[in-house]
Amino acid sequence: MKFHDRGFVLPLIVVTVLILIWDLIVWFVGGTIFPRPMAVLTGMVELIRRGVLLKYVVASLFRVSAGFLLALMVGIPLGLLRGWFTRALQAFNPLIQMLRPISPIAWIPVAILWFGVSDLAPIFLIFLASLFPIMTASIAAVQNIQLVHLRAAQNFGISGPTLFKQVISPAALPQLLSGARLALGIAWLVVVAAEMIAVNSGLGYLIIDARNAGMRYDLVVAGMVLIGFIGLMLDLTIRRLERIDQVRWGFNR
Amino acid sequence: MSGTGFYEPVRFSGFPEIKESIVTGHLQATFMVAPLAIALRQQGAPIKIVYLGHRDGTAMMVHKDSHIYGIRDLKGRTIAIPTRYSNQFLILYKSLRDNGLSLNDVHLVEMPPPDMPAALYSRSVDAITSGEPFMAQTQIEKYGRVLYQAKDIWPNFISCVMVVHERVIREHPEWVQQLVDGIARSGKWLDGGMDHRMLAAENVSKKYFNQRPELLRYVLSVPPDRITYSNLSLARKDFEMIEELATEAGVLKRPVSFDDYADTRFSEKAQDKQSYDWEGPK
Amino acid sequence: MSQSLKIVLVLLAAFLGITALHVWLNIGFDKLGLTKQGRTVSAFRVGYLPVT
Repeated sequence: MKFHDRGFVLPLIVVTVLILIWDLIVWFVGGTIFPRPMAVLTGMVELIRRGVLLKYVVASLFRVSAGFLLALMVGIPLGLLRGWFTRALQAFNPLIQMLRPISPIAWIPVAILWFGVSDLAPIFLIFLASLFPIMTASIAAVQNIQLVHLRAAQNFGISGPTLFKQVISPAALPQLLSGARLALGIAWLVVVAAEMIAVNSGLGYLIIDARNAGMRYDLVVAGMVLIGFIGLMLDLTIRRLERIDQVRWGFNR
Repeated sequence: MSGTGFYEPVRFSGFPEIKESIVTGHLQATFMVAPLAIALRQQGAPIKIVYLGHRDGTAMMVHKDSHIYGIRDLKGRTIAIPTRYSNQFLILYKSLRDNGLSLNDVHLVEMPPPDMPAALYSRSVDAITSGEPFMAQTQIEKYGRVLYQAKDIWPNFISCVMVVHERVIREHPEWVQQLVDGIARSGKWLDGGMDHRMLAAENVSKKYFNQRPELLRYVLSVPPDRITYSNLSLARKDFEMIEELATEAGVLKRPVSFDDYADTRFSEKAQDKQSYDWEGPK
Repeated sequence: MSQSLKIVLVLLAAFLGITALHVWLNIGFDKLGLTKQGRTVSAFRVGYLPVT
């Protein structure tokens, strides 16, 4: 119990101190561009008053979940297959490694071409960004299954779907979850770039539009704070999943 | 002010995305800088210019403490332009040429207009030029000084034009006519009195521009002819001047034809339309 | 029901919830053509940059 309390207090202290330092620096340096913490707070209140805060958060969450889930549904099976059939891995690896470093921003013209100015375009970009970490983690998950477990199972005569369900799947789960956690972080990071296209809602859109409107940097930073906060919540949620029994054995906690 | 209308305005944050959206047909129409529209058409994009957006409304600003007072003082300086496919760039080219300078005598940077005020404030560039309200913003915040207004160098300066996808012209010309009529009539309304302009600033600034009303009020009134919205019909003469300058400056590589990239039918029919009769939200 | 299955169902439910919320807040159910008045002609989309 005591340990849990300290889990909240220390980070809270760190954040408070940082906010104070932020305020001091901006006050000292002056200038009209970077906002002070209070301005950011009033900016957030303005967003609530205008009724757009909830709309924007939901819009971004929707696009990220859709893109992320699609990446899971495509990336995990593909990754598991490629990890299992090593020749498939060799054949496709160079292609994947070439596509991986291309920033989502570079894909924007393609996204517009295929999906126009609808929600599908940012979902596509988020899907792309999340796909590669999930595939990589799935491949690693399969390859790291202890050979001894596989041999033991095959000795018992288990093969095919049963092998998959009873041995491979549980063995791969911890690493899959790590990959998913990483991919979710990347997906949430990419939402700002993905919403550059021409959607009219979302936290990324808020930041870009506030910047384009000149001098609304209070809203820009408010958007950043919101993105950071929600990113933290998403990460904490996934980490709770790591505590369920089927997964916990994979982590030395 | 809200309700459902026939048109769905879609706000963009950069020219590249607008360009891709109209060329792929996901947008049926858009405002766009004139040279870009001509260049796109030349490259085969299925679009046509049907009307203008406004006249004038462009300036070049320098920092108030700089010693730049005339075009010749720009020699060796860094100037920010929105894109080389803009009339802001062409008017700069024309001024340099008329003052015995060439493009090699200045350093040009392409920069999104919203970033220009900050760049001028921090003096990371010596001069900025683009459309409003970003130029006026530097004036209101008292660190910018006008070097020239477009209307004083290139009378009846054109900045943005209305571009429509060919498929819409073919399948629904009546929609295009309605759009052009709308621009014509609201333009006449805006130029019909300062009270109309203030009304407009009050009602559209937050929702459509995401700017403070004071900024738009300033832009629409100081001076009163900073931007004009009447006389928006397509005139061959205006565009031939753009073609000439653009070719000379190296922005247009092959000859283009007004009849190819412009469709004047809608503009002609809109000539006699009356101004709107709006006095504010009820 | 195994724990993993429960989790998958919860996540799926959360996703559907967010989708419904998004459609309600940002798009409007009528635009999806789900209601009778929703079968409107697709809008004439006009793009612009907030600069003259």
